[in-house]
Amino acid sequence: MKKMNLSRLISTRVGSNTNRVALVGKNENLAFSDLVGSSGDMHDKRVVLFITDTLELVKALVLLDGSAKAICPISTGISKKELYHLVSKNEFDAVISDLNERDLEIFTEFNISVFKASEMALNEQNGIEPIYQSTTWLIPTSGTTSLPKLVSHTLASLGAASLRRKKLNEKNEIWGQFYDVTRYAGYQTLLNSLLNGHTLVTLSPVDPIHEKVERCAEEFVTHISATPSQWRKILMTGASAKRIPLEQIVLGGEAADQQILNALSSFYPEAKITHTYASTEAGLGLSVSDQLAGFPMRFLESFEGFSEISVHDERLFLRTISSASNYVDGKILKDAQGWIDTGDLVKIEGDRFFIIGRQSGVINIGGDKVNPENVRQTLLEHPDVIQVNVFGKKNPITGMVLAANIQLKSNVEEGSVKASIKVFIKENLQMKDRPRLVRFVDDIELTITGKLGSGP
Amino acid sequence: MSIKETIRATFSSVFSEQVEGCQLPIINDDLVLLESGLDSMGFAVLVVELEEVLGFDPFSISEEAFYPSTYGEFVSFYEKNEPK
Repeated sequence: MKKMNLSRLISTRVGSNTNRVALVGKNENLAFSDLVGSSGDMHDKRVVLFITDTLELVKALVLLDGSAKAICPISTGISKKELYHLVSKNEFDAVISDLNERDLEIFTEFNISVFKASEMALNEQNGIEPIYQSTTWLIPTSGTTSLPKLVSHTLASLGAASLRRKKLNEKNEIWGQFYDVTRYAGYQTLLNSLLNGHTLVTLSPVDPIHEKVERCAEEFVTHISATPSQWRKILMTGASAKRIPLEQIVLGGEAADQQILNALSSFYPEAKITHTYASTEAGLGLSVSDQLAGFPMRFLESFEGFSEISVHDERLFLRTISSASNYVDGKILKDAQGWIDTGDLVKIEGDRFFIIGRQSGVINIGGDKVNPENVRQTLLEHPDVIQVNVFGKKNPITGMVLAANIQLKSNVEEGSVKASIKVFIKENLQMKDRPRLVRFVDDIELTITGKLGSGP
Repeated sequence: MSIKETIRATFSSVFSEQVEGCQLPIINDDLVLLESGLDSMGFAVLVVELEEVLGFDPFSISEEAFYPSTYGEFVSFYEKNEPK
């Protein structure tokens, strides 16, 4: 993919079908021909894209890939604290945004030049032909630390799965976008559409679920990829959800349980239902469409994909042919025989294996990774708290919710600190790390080894 | 208190705990759960709190997977699955 920027790659892949609709917005549609053939002039610059409108964001991505040194799309839904952290820790030269000056103060504070998203389009019309440079895509990851950090990708690494399909489908699939487009899973959906000639119906992460579902029904969406938690919400819209003419359902980001698979199959009897597993460390996906929770044991003997799978000490190991993504934080993950420890715990039952959690104790809440130990340490910083236990509480219908049992110092009355602890949680923990179920208990039991139990 | 009354009281207390700057909606059978102001995590908390008060969780007991849309459907699912 040398010197092949996103714009050229789309043209090559979509070929003569550039009149197909690429993106469906609330008020506007864009054809593939509207996206390609122009480029931005941000040579050698590290550019933040802080754009609310998905169509504008995608236009900017296509304009800048192959001309900017680095592009870093950040969700406009990010908290001020997280944004400040990202901007102060990374050297950016410019920000492109569709927001008001007031919302961009953090950028101006660090002397980062602000450009309006609409100005970018003007530059493009000036016909400036920039010098090609390979662009790094910086993806903020929530990870398991309390603040986000950036992970480096390239168009080739982000688009690898989408580029596996060699031939353009006669019939274009209509995808509904349920993942925030600035997150890893969001790029997978976006690039799958852009590089395979499919239509993507863009949905704002802030829209209420019934609006998203209504739009998918109105736009005749045939394909949706979402987490099991998002699927539960979709099903809760009842009759509206039934109106979406789904042909393909993809579940990822969390383990899909039998209840959600059964419910989807009775709701959408015509649809193909696929659940997937991806290891962040190995960047590999397992997928199966037999509507049974877990994965078949035969995958351990002969997986038809890019890797071998093995289970040792209840942990899942992968051996990939591709050498991509072998390092995380500079640490070598492969052993001498090339096996990568995914850090995921596996339970074997009969002829299936199930991913049951992380060895590190990290909990998956609706697709977000939460490290209960970090949350516990933060809560312990409250002056009236003496002991805390943080854990995930699971329910087949609602998925996992983050819970905290808090023991207060003996001289403290629950009623007098409840409000202050609520404020403390809000100020010190990002959204995904905030325990929603907070209980005050008299005593927190330790296990025999002296460690805190993982349950309530 | 009947199941219906318990759910109503718990819904109100969970709502005031979980939702900020939003008034408690009028609770009737047609209230759409996800439009009530309670988000899906708040809804999860409601199910956990109800298990504590009522002593059972119909979503774990029931063999069918059921995703209620309205408050009325939610309440009748509890009534239907109350352990005898």
